Amino acid sequence: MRISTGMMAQSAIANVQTAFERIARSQEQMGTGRRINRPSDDPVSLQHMMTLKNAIQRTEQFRRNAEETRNFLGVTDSALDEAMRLVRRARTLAVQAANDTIDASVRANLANEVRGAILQLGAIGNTAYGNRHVFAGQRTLAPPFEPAAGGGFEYVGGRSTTGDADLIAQIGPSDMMVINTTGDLVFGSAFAALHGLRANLEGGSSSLISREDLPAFDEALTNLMGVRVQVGSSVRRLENVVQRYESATLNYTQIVSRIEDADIARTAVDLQTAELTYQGALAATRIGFQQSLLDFLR
Amino acid sequence: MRSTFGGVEIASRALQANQTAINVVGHNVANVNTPGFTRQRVQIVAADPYTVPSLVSSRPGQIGTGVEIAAVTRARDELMRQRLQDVVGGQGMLTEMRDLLERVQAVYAEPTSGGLSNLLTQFFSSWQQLSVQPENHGVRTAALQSAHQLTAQMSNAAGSLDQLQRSMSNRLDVVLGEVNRSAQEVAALNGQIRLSISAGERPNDLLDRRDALLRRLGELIGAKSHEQATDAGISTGTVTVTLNGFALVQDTHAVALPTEFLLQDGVPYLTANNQRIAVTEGIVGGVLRSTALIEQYRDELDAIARTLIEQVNGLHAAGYGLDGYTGRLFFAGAGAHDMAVHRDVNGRPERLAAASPPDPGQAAAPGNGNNARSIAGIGTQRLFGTNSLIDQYNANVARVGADLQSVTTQAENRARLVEQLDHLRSSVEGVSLDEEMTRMLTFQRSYQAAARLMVTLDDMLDRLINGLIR
Amino acid sequence: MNTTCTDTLAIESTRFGRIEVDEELVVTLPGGLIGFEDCQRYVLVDHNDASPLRWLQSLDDPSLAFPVMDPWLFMPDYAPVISAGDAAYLELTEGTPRVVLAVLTIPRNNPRAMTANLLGPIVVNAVTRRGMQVVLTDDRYGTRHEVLSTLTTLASAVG
Repeated sequence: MRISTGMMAQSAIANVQTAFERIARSQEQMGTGRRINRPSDDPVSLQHMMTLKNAIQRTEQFRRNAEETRNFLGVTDSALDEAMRLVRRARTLAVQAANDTIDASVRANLANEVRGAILQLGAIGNTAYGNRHVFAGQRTLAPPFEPAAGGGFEYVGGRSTTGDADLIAQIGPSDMMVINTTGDLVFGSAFAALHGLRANLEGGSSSLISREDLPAFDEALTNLMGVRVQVGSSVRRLENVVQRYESATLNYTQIVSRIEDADIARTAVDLQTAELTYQGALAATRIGFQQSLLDFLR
Repeated sequence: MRSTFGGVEIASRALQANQTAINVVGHNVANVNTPGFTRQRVQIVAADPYTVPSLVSSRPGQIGTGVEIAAVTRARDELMRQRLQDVVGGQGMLTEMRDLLERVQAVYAEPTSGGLSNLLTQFFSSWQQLSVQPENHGVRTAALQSAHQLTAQMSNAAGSLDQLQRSMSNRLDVVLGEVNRSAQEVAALNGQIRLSISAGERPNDLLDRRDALLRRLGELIGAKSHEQATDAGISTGTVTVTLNGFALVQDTHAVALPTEFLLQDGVPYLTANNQRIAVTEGIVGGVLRSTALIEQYRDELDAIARTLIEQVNGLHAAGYGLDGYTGRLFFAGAGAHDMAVHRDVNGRPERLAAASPPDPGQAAAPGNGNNARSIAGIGTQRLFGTNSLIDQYNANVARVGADLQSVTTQAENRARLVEQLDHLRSSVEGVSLDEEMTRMLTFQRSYQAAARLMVTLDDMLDRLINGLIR
Repeated sequence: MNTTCTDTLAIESTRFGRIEVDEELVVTLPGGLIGFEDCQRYVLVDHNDASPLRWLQSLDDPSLAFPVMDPWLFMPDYAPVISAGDAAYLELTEGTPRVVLAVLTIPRNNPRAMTANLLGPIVVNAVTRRGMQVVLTDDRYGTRHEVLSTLTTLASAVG
């Protein structure tokens, strides 16, 4: 075949260009560490990868929801712990007061202590996590226990009867969880026991204390215990979920990076090869142009 | 009887012929880099012999009269030219589509965190977060921010696609302008070449120029050409240029192409008053096809935006803000281009309707995040067949990538084919400096020999004239 | 172990007066009950022969006694799943005899509305007599399961 000079130049340019493009591509992969830098690099894998990334993000959000809920439940549980200590202390006072032999001044002191306990329990009932009052149902922004006439409290938070009792957290695609118990259900029996004890102390009726107040305290304590068991159960569920999500996210991430990441070692070799090719193409071009008949005619 | 000076005449012709041949070599060498140049050849023939009238048959009947240039011709490879003309239209289209689709692909900014896939997911995540912290001002603000990012990228992408669409209509004008100008030039060359040929000349360089224009017309719009012949089958030297049945150049007339664009059954047409020309190749075909594709991508993006606006607004309007009010919209706009955060909620995070409707007679409670959770659920609802909003978007992006990938591969293959054919053509038509140098040496030596002959003849005549008389 | 060698313990309880118990019958809950981590030793006292109600009387605090009941009495299909960690702590294996008790909450004003905590049952290894309050993660079970209404339903079902 005849080789024309123009053709030689043309194919030399084409060779150099191809080699250069190959280098540019390998360099991009080295630079970003990614095999897929734009949709046309691998459309099928791209779609797969994007779907996985979306799933990771959604899972990550459920994990954040679970984390947030766990914090909320942590605050709830410490409030409940405090409330149980308080009620147990008050119950000890009741056991003490059930004894007929104590005199009026001691009785007055005990009544004072019980009044203080009622105020403390009101404060515990108004516990907030950030600006959320944890025992207020959905009416989170206002303290659910308002001071009422006669040294007691009135519950003004959300209730199931008004449709605003439940705080719900979504911790999975179809995994919802009620994370709160309203203050009336948590502290109602405890307030009743404290008020009863106070009334009987003030009225001086020791016999009623053992007949009415001690069972009332028992009721309040097993009730609080029940709420704490509920909280503990929720926390355990959340921990399981978080653990599951962490391993799922890890798996997803590994798959994504398998799809997305350039094999750095291979890319480095590719780059070297491409550079060699480029050098070769350049050299061949130089020699090809240098050796012309014109050189020999001088 | 031969003339005494017949030899001088032969030497003189040889000098002239070799001189001309060297000039042709010079012309070739000078045009080694001229695109479309076809190397030229001198056809050297022996001049008509001089017949000696004689009564005696044993004497030689004819005496040579030397050399002459019969013609300077182009070394053409007609077959390769025809095949090239057939494939350059496709190459023009594919290259144009590749260049345009690369710009389209860049609009989507995938796979990066600034792409819609990530921003959509982030948007729904922010509502999910709001569902567990509906009282939190910071979380509300973050949800608004992620909505702003989303709408910004959405309208940005739509705007960029529109911009590309507009730039393509400009490009179409420019390219059609070049088509019409080239057609006019071909028509003008037709006239000159016909005139030249009828005068018995060979207008090689005019032919080269016309060939280059014809190839360009192929690249531009996929036009085909064929030579005009008389009824008797003799070439008139003119070419007709046609485009799917439409005569672009006939004889010395060029017809301007219509500029209206119409897509029917996937085939792009140029139309004007009842005329319809299918343009399936060339840069024009590439522009038209890309326009159709971009329109499709744009519609798909709009469908995503519209669905998102409708779904979110539907739920949002039924929900309650932290301030206890309901009936507010979240997104403004009718499609991707004008999508924005609605002024009902813009800059007013407390108005985000995270709460579901309260019981009759009750006020909306601040800790109610049920509506936020419903809105977050839109992200995974199967709103497009079995696809969620985000799945659908991902599939759209993947198709843009696949379209570009396929066009790129085809364009590369086509370019390789054109390159090959060009090589083959060039191996016949192209100028090789080595070869030209070789020829130059040959002609130079011939010229020297002829000059030598002249000197010898002169010497002989000198003897004859001066020597005999003395 | 030889019963004749067993020591007896006496406790002056608020509710039942003086009780004498076999030391062998003492149940130890090393972690206490939730909210009562300081009280770890208990004995089971029957309410009376006819009643399914029993009391978990604390030996550390004579005034403390929890009303408890066998949960299967009112929920025959109760199936608490104890985590592997908890089972290991209690040294429970497949066949180990065990006692499961649900803590009752008895409203003072309306004892018939008593509820059982099925989410946090007390599980005791009957061999070692060590137990704990197990917190389940099964959302089928609540902390306020109505006892008498289910008992009534069960009774009428049996006919």
